[in-house]
Amino acid sequence: MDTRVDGARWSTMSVSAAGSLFDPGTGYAYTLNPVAVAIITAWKADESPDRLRAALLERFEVDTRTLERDLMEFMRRVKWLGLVT
Amino acid sequence: MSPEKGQVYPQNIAVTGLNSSENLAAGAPVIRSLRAVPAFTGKVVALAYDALDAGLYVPGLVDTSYLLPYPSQGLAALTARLSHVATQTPLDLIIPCLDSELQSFIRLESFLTAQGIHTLLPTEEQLVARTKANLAGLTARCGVAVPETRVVFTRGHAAQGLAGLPFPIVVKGCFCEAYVAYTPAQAAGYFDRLAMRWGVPVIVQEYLTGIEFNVAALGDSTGKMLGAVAMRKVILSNTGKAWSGVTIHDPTLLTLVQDIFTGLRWRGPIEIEVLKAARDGQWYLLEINPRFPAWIHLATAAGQNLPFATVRAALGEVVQPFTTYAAGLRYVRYAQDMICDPAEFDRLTAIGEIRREDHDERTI
Repeated sequence: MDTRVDGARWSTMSVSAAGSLFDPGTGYAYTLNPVAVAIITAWKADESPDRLRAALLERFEVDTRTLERDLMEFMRRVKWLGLVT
Repeated sequence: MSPEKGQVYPQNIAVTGLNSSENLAAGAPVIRSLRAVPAFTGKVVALAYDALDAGLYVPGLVDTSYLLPYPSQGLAALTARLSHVATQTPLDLIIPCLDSELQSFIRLESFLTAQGIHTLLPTEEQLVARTKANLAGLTARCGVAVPETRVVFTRGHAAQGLAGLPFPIVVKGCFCEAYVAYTPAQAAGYFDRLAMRWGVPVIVQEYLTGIEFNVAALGDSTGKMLGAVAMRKVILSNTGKAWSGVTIHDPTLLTLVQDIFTGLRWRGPIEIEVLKAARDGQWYLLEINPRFPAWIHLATAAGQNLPFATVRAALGEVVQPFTTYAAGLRYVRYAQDMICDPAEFDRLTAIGEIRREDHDERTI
């Protein structure tokens, strides 16, 4: 599954230390769990999908199949929220 | 931008709009912004229309208070009253904060200048150009999209809605208040309510869905934009007023605001209400209010003290435009019962003024 996003847009968003995401273009804030923080931090750094997957596999106790399923679900949700087009 | 180091502002500044109903006026927040500047050492003079305007009773907010005649009593009554106020408390500057009084203060600009009282107000032509009834004209003048709009003078015309567009529609009063009407009967009913309260015309507007944003901004005496802060309403009152909001930063929105300044060459405070439509992602101009909004202190907290920039620009200083502000800053409004000192209330109702010389002992 393609997990590339528009790095320029994500660079304007901020992730707080407490784990919330703020979109300065809309004023909406989102509460993130640690996995989401890791994904969005990678997006903000414009990291490649391969590096993102490798980082998630290294940091969290998850197998490849579950990771792909969770990434797909995450992408579906951020698209639904309008954060990714 | 901030004043120069060591510079003080000993001027006496009069502010209107001290009323605090659910539809809060901007007077008290404007004064809070002025008081936030250590260099401001002058007095704050409240010009109120009612002895029960809550801002008159907030400890530490104002030094001196005077009642003004309502705008409906005409320019002569206002002139006489301001002349009296100026003899009692020398005024250097007035910041009007209510839509309904703007025309009077604009017409009195020469009189005020002759009295040594500074203002930073739009021209009457600018004021009229941004009325709800004339909003559609701004498309050509400023290059901004406006929802389909129709000006109506009768309940029958309100019930007809907009040609070619289905209900719901938005029915708006000429000064403020707006309702979404889902049927012709509802539109007629809202016309009656708004016409009775604010007069005619009433505005019938296309109902658009999307995200609404408000921008507080300021233009100098040449119409150059000195600052602009955008906010999204987070909590709304029953009448659609913001009870909580968050500053946002969208370069395309600020470009649109700049276009409005370029088109209107607006002088003074302004609030611009826009909507990013869900149907096409385009910005639509909903309203322009010719004064600061009630949430103006959020802009100050975010880094642009536009009320104090008004003071500096009105006094003739060359003020450098603000270039940044903090996005993501939130406010939530708080309502509190103010206890009115019986002696002060009596003085206001009997002779229309209270003079306090001890604001340093009070707390804000």
